[in-house]
Amino acid sequence: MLQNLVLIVVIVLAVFILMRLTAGDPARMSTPVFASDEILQTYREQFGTDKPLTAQLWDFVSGLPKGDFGTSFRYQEPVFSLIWQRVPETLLLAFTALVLALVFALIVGIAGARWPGSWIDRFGIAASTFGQSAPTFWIGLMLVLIFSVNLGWFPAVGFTGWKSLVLPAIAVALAVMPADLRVIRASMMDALNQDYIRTARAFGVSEARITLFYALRNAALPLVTVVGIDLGYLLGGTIVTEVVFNYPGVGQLAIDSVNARDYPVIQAITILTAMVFVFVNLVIDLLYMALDPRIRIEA
Amino acid sequence: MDTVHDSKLNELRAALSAGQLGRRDFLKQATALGLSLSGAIGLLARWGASPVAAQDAPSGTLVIANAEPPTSAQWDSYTVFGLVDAQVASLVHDSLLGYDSVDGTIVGHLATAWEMTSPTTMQLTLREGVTFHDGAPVTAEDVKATLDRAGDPEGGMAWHGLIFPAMSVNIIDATTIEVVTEAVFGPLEKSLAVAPIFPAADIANPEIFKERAIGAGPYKWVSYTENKVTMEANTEYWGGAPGIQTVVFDYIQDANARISALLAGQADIITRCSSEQLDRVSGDDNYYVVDAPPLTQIVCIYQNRDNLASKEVRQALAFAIDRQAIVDGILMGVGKVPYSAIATNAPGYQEQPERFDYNPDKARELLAAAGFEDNLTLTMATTTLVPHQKEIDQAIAQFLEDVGISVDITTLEVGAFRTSYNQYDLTLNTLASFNYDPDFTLGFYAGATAEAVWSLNDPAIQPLIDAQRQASGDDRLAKINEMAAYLWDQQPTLYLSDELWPFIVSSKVQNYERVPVVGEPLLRFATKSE
Repeated sequence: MLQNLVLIVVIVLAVFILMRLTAGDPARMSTPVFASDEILQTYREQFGTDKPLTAQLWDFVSGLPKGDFGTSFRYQEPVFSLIWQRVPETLLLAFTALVLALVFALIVGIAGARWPGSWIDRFGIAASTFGQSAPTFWIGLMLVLIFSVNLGWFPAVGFTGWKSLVLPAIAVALAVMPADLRVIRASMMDALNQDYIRTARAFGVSEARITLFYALRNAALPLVTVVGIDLGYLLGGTIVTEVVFNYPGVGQLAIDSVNARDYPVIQAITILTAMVFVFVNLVIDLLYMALDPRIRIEA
Repeated sequence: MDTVHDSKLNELRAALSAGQLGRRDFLKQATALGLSLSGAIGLLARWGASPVAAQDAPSGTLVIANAEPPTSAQWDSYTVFGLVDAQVASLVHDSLLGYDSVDGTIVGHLATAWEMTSPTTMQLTLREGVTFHDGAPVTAEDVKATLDRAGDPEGGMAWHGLIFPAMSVNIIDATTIEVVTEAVFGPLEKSLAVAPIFPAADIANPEIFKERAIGAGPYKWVSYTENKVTMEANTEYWGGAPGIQTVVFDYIQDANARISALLAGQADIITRCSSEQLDRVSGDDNYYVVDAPPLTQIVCIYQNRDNLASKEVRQALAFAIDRQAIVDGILMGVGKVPYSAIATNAPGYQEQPERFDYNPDKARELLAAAGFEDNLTLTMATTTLVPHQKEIDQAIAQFLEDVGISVDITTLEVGAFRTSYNQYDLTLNTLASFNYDPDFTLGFYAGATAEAVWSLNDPAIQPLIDAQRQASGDDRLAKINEMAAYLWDQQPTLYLSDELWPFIVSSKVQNYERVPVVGEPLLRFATKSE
C-alpha cells in the first residue's frame, strides 16, 4: 500500500515538472501569433502561470487533499467536474469493448483449443492477426465509412445513445481481443492436455463439462492477468478511438488539453489514471488469491 | 455618412417607415430607380427593415463543425481571437453597424444612421425599441460602456490597438451618440461592424462572461457543453426572426471525423476545408462550397535579423520559391498567390509591378551580390499548424537548396512551435484580419508586434500605417497600396498564398452565404429543409 502511495506521489511530481519542462506556453496556445506581450501577460495572470514554479506547485499540491485539481485554462471550470462529466462515456466505451473482446476471445479461443486446426480456429487466428496488425485509427475510419457513411446504420461521431457506442467499441475491442484470444487458446490447450482431463474423460464426463468446468477454471488465471493488462490499455487506449469518433470521453479531453497546454486538466487526468491503474492491479492481485488458493497460502 | 438625397428615395423611405410599403416592393422600386440590388438591400437594412428576414417561423437545427473549440470558454468577445468566438459573437450580439449582403456593404444595425461630423468624430443615431435577450432595452449607456472599454488603451482588451483605436463615446441624447477617436482612424466603420454591444451591467461584472453571453443578436446563447455551443433563434430580433431555430457549433478535432460527420448527416457545414475534404464531395449535388474568406494570408515568417536583415537576401528568397507551384501542387488550388503584401481580396489590393515570379537565376544573382554563394544556411521550424505545413516547408527548403541555401529543418510539436517559432529564421504561419480591413495585418509590421513576430524594426513603416489610417475613401485605398508596395519591396516575410477558407455545406441548407469576416453575420438568412 505504501509502495502505491509513493508511486502516486512520484507521478504527481513527475507530471507537474514534465509539463512545465515541455516547450509550450499555455498563454501562447490561447492567442494568435501577433498577440502582444500585454495580451500574453493577461492570459498568464489568468492561468497563474506567471507565478514562480514553487508557488504553482504549492497551489496544485495544496488542493489535492480536497480533491481540488484547479480550474481548466480552456474550459474555465473546475477540472474535477470537467473530467467527471466525461468518465461515464469512457467507462461505458471501455467496458463494452472489454466485454465484446472477452466474449469473442472466449468463444473462439475455447473452440480453437478444443478443435485445433478447424475452421473456427483458423478464423480466430486470422481475426487476432488482423486486430493486432491493423491500427485502431484505420479500423475506426473503415467502420465509419462502411457503417455510417455508406449504410447509415450508426452515427459517425459523438455520443447520442447506444448506437453511438457500437462502432467505437468494436474498434477498441479489436485492439485488445488478439492478446485475450491467444492467451485463452494457449492456456485452454494446455489445460485440455492435463492428466486430470484424461481421467475425467475415462470416467465418462461429457466433453462440454470437461471444457467449460474443468479446463476453463484452470485456464482462468492467465486470463485474469491478461484482463488486468487490458484494463491498463483501455485506460489510455481509448484516446485514439475517441478522437476518430469524436467521442466525448476522457481520452479526447486529454488530447485537447495536451494540445492547449491545459496543465490542470493534464495533471488531473494523469493522476486519476495512475490511481485507477494502481487500484486495478490491487484487485487483480486479490482475484488471483480468490481463484488459486495456493497463492493465498504462499502469501 | 453616405446619405441618399434623392427625393424619390426619401419618399420610399417615408412609405417604408409608415408601413405603407413592403420590403419586397421597396426593393423593386429602389432598383427601378437605378440602385443596385445590394445598395437597395443596404438602404433597407439601414432604414429599419431586414432585407430577407424569414417569412416563416424559424425551424430546424444547423450543425457547424469546426476544427477548433472556443478559445477559453468565456464569452467576452473583446478578449478572444478564435474562429468559434467570432462565430458566436456574430450571432449572439449585434453591433452598431453590420453586414447584410455578401458584397461586404456596411449597413446600419443598432444604428440607423451615421456620419462623420469631424475627422475624428462619428455621430450615430441608435435604433429604437431594440432589446437584449433578457428583455432589457439596448441603450446609449450600453453602447458607451462597451465601446469605452474597447477604446481604452489601459483597458487590457486584446482587440484594442488591432481593431479598435483609442476612442470614447459621448452620449448626446437617448438615441444619439458620438464615437470620438484620439486620431483619425480610417477603418472605423469596419471596426464598428464587428464590435458587439454588451449590456452595461455585464461590462461592470465581467466575471459573468465565464457563465453566459447575452446580446441583442439574432440568436440567443443557450449552452456550452461537451465542446458544443448551442444557440436558439431570437424571434424578437429587430431585423426579423432568423430562418433556422437552433444553431450548434460543434468541435470535431479530427479532419476525417469532420468530413464523416458531414457525409453521415451529423453536420451541415464543415469549415476551413482542405483539398482532400473538397475532393470527397466534388461532383456531389448534395453539397456545395462557399468560400468568402476573411483577409487571410499564409506567410513564411522571416526573422529579419542576421543574414535575413538584408533586403537583397529576402528578395532572393522570393525569387527562389515557386509559390504558384506550391499552391497548385500542395494546396491543390485551395489558395491564391498574391502579388502584393496584402491578401488579394483586401480593399486596396493592387498587383505590384515586380511580381517576384519564380526565377532561380535572379535569386542566385541577388545572393551573390549580398555576398552569399552556396554559403548561406537558414534554420526552419515546421509543425502541423497550417494545412500541409510539412509538405510546404519541405518544398520551400528544396527551392532554397536549389539556389544554394542550406535549410536546417527542425520538426516541433504544435505547442513548442507556437512558443518558439521566432527562434528560427523561417516558419510558416497564417495571418487573418478580423475586420475586413488590411489595416489589421498591416499594423503587425510596426512597434512591439513587429519586433516580436518578425524581429523587424523599420522606422519607415509607422508613418505608412498612420497615413492609410488617416485617409478616407479612394485616397485611403491608395495609401493602403503604398504601404503594401513598400512591404512587398522589402519582403519582410514570404507572402505565399491567400488562405481561401472553403466551407462545405449540405444542400439541405439554403441561402447560406458568407461575408469576408471571421464570423457568420449572414447566417440568420439561411434556412434548412429536413
